[in-house]
Amino acid sequence: MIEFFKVTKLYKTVIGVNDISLQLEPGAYGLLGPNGSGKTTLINLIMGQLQPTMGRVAVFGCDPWKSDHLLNRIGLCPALQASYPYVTGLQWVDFLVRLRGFKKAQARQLAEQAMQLVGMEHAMRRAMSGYSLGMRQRTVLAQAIAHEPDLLILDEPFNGLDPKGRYEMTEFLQNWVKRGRSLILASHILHEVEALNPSLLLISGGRLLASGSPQQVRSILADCPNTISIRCRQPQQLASLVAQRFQVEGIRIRAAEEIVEVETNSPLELLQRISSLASDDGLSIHEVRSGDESLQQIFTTLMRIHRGELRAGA
Amino acid sequence: MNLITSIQATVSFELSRVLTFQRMSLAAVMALFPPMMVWILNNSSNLPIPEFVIAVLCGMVCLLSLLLWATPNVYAELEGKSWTFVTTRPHGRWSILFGKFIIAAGWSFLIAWIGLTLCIIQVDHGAFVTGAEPVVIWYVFSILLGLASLVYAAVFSLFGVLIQRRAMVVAVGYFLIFEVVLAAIPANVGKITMSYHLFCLMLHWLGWVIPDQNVDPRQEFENLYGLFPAWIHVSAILAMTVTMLGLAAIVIRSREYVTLEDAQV
Repeated sequence: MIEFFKVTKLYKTVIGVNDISLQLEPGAYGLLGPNGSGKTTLINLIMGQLQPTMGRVAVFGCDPWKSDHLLNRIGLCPALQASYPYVTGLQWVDFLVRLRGFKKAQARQLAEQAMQLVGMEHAMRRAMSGYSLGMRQRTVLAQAIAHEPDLLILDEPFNGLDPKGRYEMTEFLQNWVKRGRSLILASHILHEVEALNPSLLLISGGRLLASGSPQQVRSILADCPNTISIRCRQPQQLASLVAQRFQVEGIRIRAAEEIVEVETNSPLELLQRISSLASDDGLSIHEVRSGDESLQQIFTTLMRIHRGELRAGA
Repeated sequence: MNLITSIQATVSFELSRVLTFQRMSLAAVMALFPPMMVWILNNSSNLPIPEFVIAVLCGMVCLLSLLLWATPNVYAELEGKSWTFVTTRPHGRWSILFGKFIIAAGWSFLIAWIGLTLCIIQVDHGAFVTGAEPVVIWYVFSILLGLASLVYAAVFSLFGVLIQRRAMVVAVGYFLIFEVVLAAIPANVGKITMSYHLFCLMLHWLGWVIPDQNVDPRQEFENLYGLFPAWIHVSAILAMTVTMLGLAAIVIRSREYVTLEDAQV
């Protein structure tokens, strides 16, 4: 479906994406990366809005920069919210559908259907300037799906949505995937993406750091240097046992909270044997948590591996 | 076919945006400016009104409107964050260019033409300096305004796709340097300007020459403005319109427009 071959995009001296090669078959993908990591640049390259400085991009077998007709197979929900003072949501979506070459009546019908699908039927004839952030986000989604594209690309679609809106958006995207449609969801929040169980593409600093299923990505990280946080009734005893039986870089005891923080280069071994430690030595362990669970930490670790400062499985 | 549908959609959408109270009020103020000036001239003295004053006033209104609507064709979309939505449609970039060109040229012509019509309505028969019939003046100036709207809308659209933030300043600079100063130079270099062709057409169609007792009027006209017949001037204006739009179409299709969000990567 999408192919990047050694693609680099420079904005003068600033690197947007750096030497990315990937091949995506039809399916659901989560494009994860911190803000400014190159997600939007990657999307713009797919959409033919930008031309790679080096390398080659192919979408559905064609160069998106040169092939305008491709755009009718893709729906883009960018991380932008256009607003016209006197234009209703329906008028705007209708206009954007007509730009795809649909006749007036058909475009109006598709626009209305899309607005209903995203739950905007009650407000679609109101001026967009009066919309809340969530309503605008739904309208942006409507213009992306109205023509029933093969591939839907969403850039930070959960921004501005309240919990109900997030739930509904997740449900909508889950149904989209279930219907066999392809999806690329760019976000900087891991759990939003995980709800769709997509293949993950982790990007940072313009580089593709890792890709695979959530489990595969977690397994890469599981064997990286990490800090494991263990909540235990007997923190001193646990710290002593861990120091005796594992190779650790450091141990910190937070007695008041009954927590032991273990810095180790082999977190996987520690995680696998921690339960036997509890049963063999009669320790009461309540919680084991990897310190690197936040996305930013994951990226920091992956970047360090990428730069050669760390070795996976070291 | 899809391109035509897209342009139609853009024109209809832009038209719905133009027909708002705010924009209509601005258009009304602009359209009323020339007749107001003519009314003041009419009532301040009993002297006949120079026709050229009406041409300049209506031309100014037309140009001002074009600066407002044609020049920010790309920048308005980038600033309004609507660029990405429109350009991720097939022919989206061209539909912006041509759709906005049609609206800018049509809207500006309409404002200036209403102004012209209101000016002419006020003027009695024989009240012009040259004694020309008001209806003839109205007819000729209407065509000239139409041609001016087309060619300057195309030129300003090109500036809009080439330069975003300062397009309006550049367009004003271009007009003052090329269309005012350069066109006033009585040499071949002045003939490349559009105001030269428009001026020549006005002289042709109204049959105006500067009288000189020692020189044959036709000879004098040719010395000053060349030997070209009217159709050459019309062709030059239309060719310039097509060339400018063609260049703008090439630029807008081949250029990467980076929005503020993209610039943050």
